[in-house]
Amino acid sequence: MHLADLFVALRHQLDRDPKETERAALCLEFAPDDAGGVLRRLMALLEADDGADALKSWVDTSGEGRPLDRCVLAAQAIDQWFALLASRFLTQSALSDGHLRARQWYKRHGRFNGDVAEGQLILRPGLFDRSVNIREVTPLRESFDVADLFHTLLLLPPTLAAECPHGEEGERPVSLAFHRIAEVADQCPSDPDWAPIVGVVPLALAEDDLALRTFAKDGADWYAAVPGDLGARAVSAIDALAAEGAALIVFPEVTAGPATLGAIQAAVRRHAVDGPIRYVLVGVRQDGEGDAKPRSTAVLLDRTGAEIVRQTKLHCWDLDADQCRSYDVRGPDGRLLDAAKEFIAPGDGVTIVELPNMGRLAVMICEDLGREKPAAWLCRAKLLDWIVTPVMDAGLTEERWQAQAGDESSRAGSCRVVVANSMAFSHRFNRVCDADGEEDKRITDCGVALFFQPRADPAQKSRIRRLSLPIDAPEPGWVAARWEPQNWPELNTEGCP
Amino acid sequence: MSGEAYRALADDVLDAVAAGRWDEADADLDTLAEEVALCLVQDRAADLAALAREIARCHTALALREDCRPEAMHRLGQLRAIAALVAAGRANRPARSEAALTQAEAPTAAVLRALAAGAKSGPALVEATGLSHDAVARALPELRAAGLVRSWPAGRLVMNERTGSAG
Repeated sequence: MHLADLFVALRHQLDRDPKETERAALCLEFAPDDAGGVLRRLMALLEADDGADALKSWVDTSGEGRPLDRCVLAAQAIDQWFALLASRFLTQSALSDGHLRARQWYKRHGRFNGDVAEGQLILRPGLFDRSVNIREVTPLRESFDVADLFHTLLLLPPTLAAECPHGEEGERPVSLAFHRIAEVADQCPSDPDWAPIVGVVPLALAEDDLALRTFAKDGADWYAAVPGDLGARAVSAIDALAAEGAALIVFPEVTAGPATLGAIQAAVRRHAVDGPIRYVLVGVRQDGEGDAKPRSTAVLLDRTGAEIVRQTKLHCWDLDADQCRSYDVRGPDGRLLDAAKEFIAPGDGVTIVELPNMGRLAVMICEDLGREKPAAWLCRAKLLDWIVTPVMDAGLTEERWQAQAGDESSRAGSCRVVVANSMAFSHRFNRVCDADGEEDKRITDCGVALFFQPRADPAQKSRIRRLSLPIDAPEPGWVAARWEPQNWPELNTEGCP
Repeated sequence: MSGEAYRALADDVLDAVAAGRWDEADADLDTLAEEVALCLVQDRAADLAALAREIARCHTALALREDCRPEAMHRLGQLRAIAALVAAGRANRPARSEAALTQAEAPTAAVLRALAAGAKSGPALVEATGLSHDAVARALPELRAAGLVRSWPAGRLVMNERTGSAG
């Protein structure tokens, strides 16, 4: 049995009885020197060729402590054995044959364990955390999570729970996959001083750039966001952001159709050789086949414009009466709707990618960021370097839900968060304000990007950078900032809705 | 070494492959590999970063040419292998010397001083040193790699103690 497979088996035993596992963990925390003594003996077992068998035999037959205590200690010994592979700093001695084989398997398969049906056993720290491991210096969480017993390894389950669409009762499973992307890299995201420039292109600058089409179907009112052909504007923004030195460019939710995406890919490709752009994330409306609903997707492109991965939005944004009124959502007959469901087919999976030029990244489209499942699980696992969130909403401020959700995700996940928005909904909002004579509520300085840097110290506040464009003169049609959170203001989330 | 020299070398590889001058391409790839090896051994981080840029640029340019001749694909693969070496060298750093880590004002030295009284967890080290979470989180991995600190899990905590090597 390989060590990784033994770890997975032990994890399953611990997961079956979290209360008893918590008791075992508390005992070890109460007597850390005793734990250290046992672990030193177990690590010596693992240095032998038959280490996994010897460790399993100790768990099964030794009379030390309770059986679950031995499971915790054995799993922690394995976790510690893998630690050499998760540090940015080179060890003083050569890796063992076993470590080399484990690294080879991980790079080939994106997991250490053999059977993917059991999930993917991966290195827990993202690239940044391999040089600055914040998790081990932050106070323990109040709630116990078995995963927190392990600092090197994380077992990604094959599926996570997501909410059912349109307020239906219950949950549905969505797949979870981790992919290491192999490509030639010239950035160094594991360097703590690496500070990339991130650009955001709102693209839909006017209300008509992102049309809201409404219709009745199956006894309900629906809306669908349909982007115009904004390829030329997108190309111009990419050219400008390349000149600014942007390494990552984000286009908001459903601002591109297939033609615009094609234009973006061609523009990125033109800058591939000499330009700074390494990745572009584009919010794309993808038509369904036949009568199928469209999908709200985010397409991640590499420096040549080739598609790396495509994430589909998991949760629908169904509008209530207040939202329909705020954004003037009317039916085909001109009637102001009291509810409108988002006409999209929700996705059935989450993909985490590890990018050599950026680190470990997950895309959470709009609603997906604020939902408890599966976003909160991904954040609690503290395995990401970046969350990127394209949204379709009114202007971003430091008081609205995106700020709260972004801050929570950044803090809980110890990761950087980028939120990117278009401007079409802000124009709708302003139109309603004008009609109601509430000019004081008009959005003038339209927030199109929020960048969050997690706080390392729980007593401190997160750092946030808000980037905006004047709504009536949104030139140049893009924003960008270098990731230098030491120069950003602190976020005050008190009073967030 | 200047960035211009690396740029010229990468451009020469491109030109040689485009013209099918395979001997020249191989000679230039050898030169590139030797320079990478020197930078790694001499720990020249800035030069490695410049080499990484030029190799990635050269690889991208060749890949976009979609030159499917086996000889061109072979050189593309060689560039990729050299790029992998550079990336590994940049992503994995040697720990600094014990003398540097124990300099009085270094955060690593403060952590070692705090551990003189016995083993401590990460949060306890933050409290004992008065350093930021970030500083302690940066110090511990390097001290471990340098062999000055030994760590082990105790429940959810990670305990740290000085090794015999830490004077």
